[in-house]
Amino acid sequence: MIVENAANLRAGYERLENVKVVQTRVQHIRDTRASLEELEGPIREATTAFGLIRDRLPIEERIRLTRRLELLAGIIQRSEKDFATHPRQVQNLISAENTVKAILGEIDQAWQGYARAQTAGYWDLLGIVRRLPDLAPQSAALHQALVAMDPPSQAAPRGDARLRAFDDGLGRIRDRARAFSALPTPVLTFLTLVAQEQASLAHLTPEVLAWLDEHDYLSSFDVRFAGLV
Amino acid sequence: MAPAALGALERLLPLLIENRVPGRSSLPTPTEWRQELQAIKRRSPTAWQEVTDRLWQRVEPAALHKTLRASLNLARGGPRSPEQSGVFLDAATALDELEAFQADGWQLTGFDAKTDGWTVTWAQLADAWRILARFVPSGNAEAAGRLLEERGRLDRVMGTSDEETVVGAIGETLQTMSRYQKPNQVAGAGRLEIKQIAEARRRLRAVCSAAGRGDVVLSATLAVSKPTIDEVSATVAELTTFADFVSNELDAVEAELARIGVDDASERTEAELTGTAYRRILGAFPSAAPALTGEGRS
Repeated sequence: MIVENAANLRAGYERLENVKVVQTRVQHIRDTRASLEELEGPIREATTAFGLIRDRLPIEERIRLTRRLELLAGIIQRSEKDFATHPRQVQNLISAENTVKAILGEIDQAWQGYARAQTAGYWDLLGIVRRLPDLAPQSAALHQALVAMDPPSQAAPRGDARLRAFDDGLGRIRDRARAFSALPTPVLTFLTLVAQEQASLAHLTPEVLAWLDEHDYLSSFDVRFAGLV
Repeated sequence: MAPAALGALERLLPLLIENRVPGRSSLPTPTEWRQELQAIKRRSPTAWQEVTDRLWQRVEPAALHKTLRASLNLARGGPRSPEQSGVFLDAATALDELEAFQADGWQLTGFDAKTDGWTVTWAQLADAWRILARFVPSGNAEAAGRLLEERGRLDRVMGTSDEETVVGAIGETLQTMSRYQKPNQVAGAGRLEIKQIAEARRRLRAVCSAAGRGDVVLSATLAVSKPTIDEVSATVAELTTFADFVSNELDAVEAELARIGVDDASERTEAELTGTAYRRILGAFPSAAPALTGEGRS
């Protein structure tokens, strides 16, 4: 009895130990999968967002973000390789998670730069034309279109719909800006320089002076000595 | 009865009588001791038992054991040969004769044998009597019953295994427990030795065998075994404790295994699911990263 029971007990201990080892390994595998599942969303966000906007970005920005995504893919590939021998990959995947979060921030930043560049000229135009009372309705319409569009501080589009909405908004801004296309170029140049406080009397050409007189804007301007405080 | 044993017993009984008659310095003739014995019996029907009890109280167990071995097994032709000492008792024969003596109700009917030529000193007779008096049954049944139980326990614990296998199994089990850092209260079993268990089995077998041969043989066996009985009990107790511990621990381990219920299949399934998750995530990259890789390197 004692010999058989003792042999069974030893076998039981070994089985229990093996089961605990397997149990621990299974838990490690589950932890890894949970980390992967947490990681999947941000990675899809990043790759999708980059895929959507990459053609709109400057080449240097594209290369930089591409390398960042390659780095991220490399971390995950190494983790997949290590997983065969070390089933708990949580630490490696935390590193991947931090990387993807940083990349998403960089994509958003790149997008914001692009978006600002797309609307900056129209904001400048608005800064000029809003000073012209007889163009007030057109200025208000342009202002509305600029404000209605996604503010440039927003994140990069994660889907086609938001990108289309951005492009539609940009289209509306262009349409509203066309209301000012009747302005002669010298007048527009003069008004731009005035808005930038860089206009001189030399810019006040006869053509510009005539246009301002015709539209009864002469009383809207002061003449001062340059450089005086 | 064998003549030698009869002669010895015949000469022992005068000592009993002598104890009742202080100052007696020579052997009585058979007729004299028979007369004296009859006188004792007439004076007191319980004389035999009284004298036996008195002798019993005077007996030191350790000295008895020593003298038993020296006297009962005194070899013919040895330093104190029967020719010289006048007493020779073959142990096995003496025990058989005592058994028969007991079966006759301790009657002296068999003591008519010729005893001519026997020369015994009183001291030798006293020694021999003390030894034989030790065989008067007293509480043997209880002791034997306890030892029979011990034998039963030992047989149950050991099953059909020999001592070497049992000691090996104990050692391996204790090592396994130590390797897996299992607390135990049976480390003492690791000190059990093969010869110790073998001796316990041998002793218990002897007692069981003697128990089947009658009270006198059983008494003699118990007397001989007495100093080691406690060791035998301790050995059996150690083995039983270990066996019980192993049995309980085995139940606990099996229950734990049943409760956990994890198998290798679940590990494979989990690993496959995780491998799929890796491939799914890496698959998200080609739409952006690989296509751009070339661009990035350009």
